[in-house]
Amino acid sequence: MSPDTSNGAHETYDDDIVRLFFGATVLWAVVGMLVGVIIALQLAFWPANMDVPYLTFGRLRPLHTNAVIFAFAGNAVFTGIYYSMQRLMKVRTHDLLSRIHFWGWQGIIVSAALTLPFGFTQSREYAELIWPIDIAIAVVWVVFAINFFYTIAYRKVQHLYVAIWFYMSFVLTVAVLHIVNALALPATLTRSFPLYSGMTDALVQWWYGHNAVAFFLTTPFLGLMYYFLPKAAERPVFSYRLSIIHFWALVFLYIWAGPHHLLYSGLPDWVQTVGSIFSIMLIAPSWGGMLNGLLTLRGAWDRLRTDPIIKFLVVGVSFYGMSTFEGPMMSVRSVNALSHFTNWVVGHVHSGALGWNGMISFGMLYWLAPRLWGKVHNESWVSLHFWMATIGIVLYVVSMWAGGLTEGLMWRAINADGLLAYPNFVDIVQRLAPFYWTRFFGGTLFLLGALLMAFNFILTIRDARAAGASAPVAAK
Amino acid sequence: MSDTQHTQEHWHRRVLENKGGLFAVLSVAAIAVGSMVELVPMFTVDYAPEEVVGIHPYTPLEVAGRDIYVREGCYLCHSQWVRPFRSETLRYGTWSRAEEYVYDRPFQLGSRRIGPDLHRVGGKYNNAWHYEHMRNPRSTSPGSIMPNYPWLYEWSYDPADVAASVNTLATLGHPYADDVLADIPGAIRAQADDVVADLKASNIEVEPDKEIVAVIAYLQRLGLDGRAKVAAAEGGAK
Amino acid sequence: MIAASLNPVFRAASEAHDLGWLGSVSTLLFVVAFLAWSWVAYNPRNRARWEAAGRLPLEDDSSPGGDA
Repeated sequence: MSPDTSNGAHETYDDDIVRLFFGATVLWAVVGMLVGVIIALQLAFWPANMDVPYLTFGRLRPLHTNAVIFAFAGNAVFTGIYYSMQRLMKVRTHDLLSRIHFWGWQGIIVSAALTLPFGFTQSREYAELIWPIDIAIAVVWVVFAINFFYTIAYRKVQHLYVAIWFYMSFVLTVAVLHIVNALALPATLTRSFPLYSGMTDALVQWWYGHNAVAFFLTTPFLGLMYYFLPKAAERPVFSYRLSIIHFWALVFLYIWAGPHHLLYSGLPDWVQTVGSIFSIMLIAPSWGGMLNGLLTLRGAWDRLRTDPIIKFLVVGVSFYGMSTFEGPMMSVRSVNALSHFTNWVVGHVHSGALGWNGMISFGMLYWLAPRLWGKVHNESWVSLHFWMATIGIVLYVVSMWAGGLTEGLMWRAINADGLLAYPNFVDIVQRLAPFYWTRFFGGTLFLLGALLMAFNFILTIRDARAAGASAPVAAK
Repeated sequence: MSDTQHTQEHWHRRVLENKGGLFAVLSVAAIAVGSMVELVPMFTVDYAPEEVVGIHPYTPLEVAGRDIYVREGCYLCHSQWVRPFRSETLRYGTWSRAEEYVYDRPFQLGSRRIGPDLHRVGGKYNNAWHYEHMRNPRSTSPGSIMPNYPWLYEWSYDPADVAASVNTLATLGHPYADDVLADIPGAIRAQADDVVADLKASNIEVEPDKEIVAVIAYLQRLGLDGRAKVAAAEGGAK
Repeated sequence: MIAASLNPVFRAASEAHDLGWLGSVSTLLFVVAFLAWSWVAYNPRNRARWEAAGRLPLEDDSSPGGDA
């Protein structure tokens, strides 16, 4: 059970597990984004639903969100954690536990892909998977947690670097969220009913849903930022003191913010108000992290022009700052009254998912590839990917902002007689077509960039094999 | 270097006594506070008995329709949550109250309105409208971007499968009458026959075990209890 | 039965389980702890320690034994 604690020079880090998660990240990025592009097309052009039950929007959207969050972003986080954790603690992770974690997690993703299109779902956003898969998630997560805490326990470095703090809150909080939200009574092998009902169920789910964003897509990525940005910039983080302070504020405040998904619902007013207030307070620790990331480049801003990895990371951190300003604004009741239910929310989550999670992941992968295999096959494609991704995000987010404002304003428009200005809902739907098409093209561009990256990595690995360099390249 | 130390102690000493364990406890405590303050009162919230009078659990056929509603991911485009704004009550009807959802497992409030809200759709259109709309939404709503659902007219629900859902909901505390629980397929059939007879009056022939019948029963039920309660309250009844 | 106790309809007890006191007390505790932690973090005596910690990712990381 215990990792090898000998300190011999022949002992190595387990970079094969990093390679496995790396490959899975790239594969699921392409799959998840492809499904996203398909459902984007279905909103612009409804016949793309093709009258096939397994391919309709309602069944593919959960597949898209699960694939992008848990398969792409999840594997990206595991890639970064296994690489950085071993080095920050100077101890090798447990080989067998790591592999159970890897194959277990991929098995869960495949089982999601095999159940969601068939309509096996709990209908809880980002927690749609049916109860047997929920149990499998819990088991695999425990294996990961054991591996993680044993590595900490056997570490050879006294101080836990702040990235580990962020990883730890990810490991622990996701476990709590998943278990509490998944409590249900099975009716059949594929269907269950939650222990909570109605508004209580809604609150539990959005407590989970918002904190999935917080503790699956934010804290671990901040951990990655605190490791890979200093690595790429070759200088320590701007303020270590700021990082260890904003960590606690972020973790304490984030957990309260869920009710902002249920403003103006049947939820008790005080819960809605508390959710709003804490959401607004979140700006402070979020921007603490963003500024700390950006200022890490102090004295190295010229690299922003020349180094595509720095470009990915800086744009990622910038989108983090933008999303974490936009989110609190949308939690203000009067803004939420307009933005809720609209495409604005979709734009908001994608500025986070594509801009923050996507760009940080890409930057990290491009930084890791030469250290895992050798020189990246085509450096100029990296820059091309950066521009495709950036332009894709801008098209996506701007069209969804415009589309969201359009429908939000048309839904609420009252004419001089005090009646609805647009009483026919379909008239408003029709106005959104150009925005849906723009979003489709932006998303397609982002997907093509990811495909280019995948192709580049395949050629990189082929180059490495051709050169006989199957052993890891020990770069710094 | 000074930061590095070699560790030979037994694992449980390392886990429990070094900073990692303490750190784990503190970070769980940090998230436990907000979670408990917000969630625990909602677990134990107690509606006054008169508030839930008039709110009924879904009938077995409606449960079948609801299971299909969940399966098809309808909630991803349609909310069931009318907010207390003039523009929404004008468009959809009276706003949604908390007690109306007490038998909603899982909740279906939704988060996005690609299509209109459905919390007050019950009784808004006749059964024949829903029958045509689900097969080809553009036949009743020109310009709609909703997919066609032709398989709902071919596939049949399984009464034994529906019974498993109803029995589970009963176990969770939904108040079903004993005679309903004793013969769930019979209760399904009786309500399905009513829907079929109504459709026949519109010259639509459908077998009672087809999924579309259950979906129509569910949609026609949405928001009725709450609306009746509000009407009664506004009519001067206590 | 836990399922029934989580169902609002079947809840027999009528008193509100208001945890507002917990929110107030723990928020106060958190603020105090946060200020104390900030003081530790920004105490000049700890400056060298944090700077060393900030350099951890930049140390040689080719192998677990390679931290000479």
